[in-house]
Amino acid sequence: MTTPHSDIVYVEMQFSTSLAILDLIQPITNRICEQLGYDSDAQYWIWLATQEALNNAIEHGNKMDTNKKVQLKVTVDAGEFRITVKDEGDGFDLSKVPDPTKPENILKTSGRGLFYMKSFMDQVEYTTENGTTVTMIKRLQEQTP
Amino acid sequence: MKINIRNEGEVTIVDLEGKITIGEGDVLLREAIHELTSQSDPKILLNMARVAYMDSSGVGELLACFQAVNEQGGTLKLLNISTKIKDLLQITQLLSVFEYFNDESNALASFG
Repeated sequence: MTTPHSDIVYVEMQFSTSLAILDLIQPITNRICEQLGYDSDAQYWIWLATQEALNNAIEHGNKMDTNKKVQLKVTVDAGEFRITVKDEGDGFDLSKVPDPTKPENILKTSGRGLFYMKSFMDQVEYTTENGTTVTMIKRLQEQTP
Repeated sequence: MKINIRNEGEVTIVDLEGKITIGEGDVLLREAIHELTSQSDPKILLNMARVAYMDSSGVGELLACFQAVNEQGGTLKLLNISTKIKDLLQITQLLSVFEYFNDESNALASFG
């Protein structure tokens, strides 16, 4: 058994608040996913989770303020693919985010981003100090050579 | 995203092509449905055969369109949703909210 390997093990970038950046970031995460041996389905869901985190940082964290920055960090280490997104917003109370699958929330037109991130990644962690930092982890699957 | 609108009897078929995501397809979809809901009792079939990607904003917009059409006494149904979009709707308990079809003639017949 071998652990998948990627030539790209660390990417860090900072950009001004804009949704236009998403199309530039997607090929980077997809390329790393490919090198790590994730199939196209897994790539799709990893990108969806990444996009949801970026959407939240841009829209809810930085509130579309182009003077604020979003930081993205992608690392491959210790058997984990780790994606970190940091904004410069006021943070939020995770305990107050409603569960979108509860009957009273099912028909709400927003509030599913975090749920999708948790659904498609193995682990999602939040800290809210000097902005919100979300870290999403996908554990690498061991491959038979 | 590209939107093409065609009519089959009383049903308006909205052919969508591209992705429905924040700041991209979501606004176009909203505008197209808003225009169609100016009629009373709209019967709308959203053909999503060429929608390969949708995020949570797209899901929210789909739901907003569904509700806007219902408020006008109309009906909105889905056609040809991909497996992945079905998964997105399923895990948030939304698949049962929408009536969806894989065949256009069956979908049209369902409007009665």
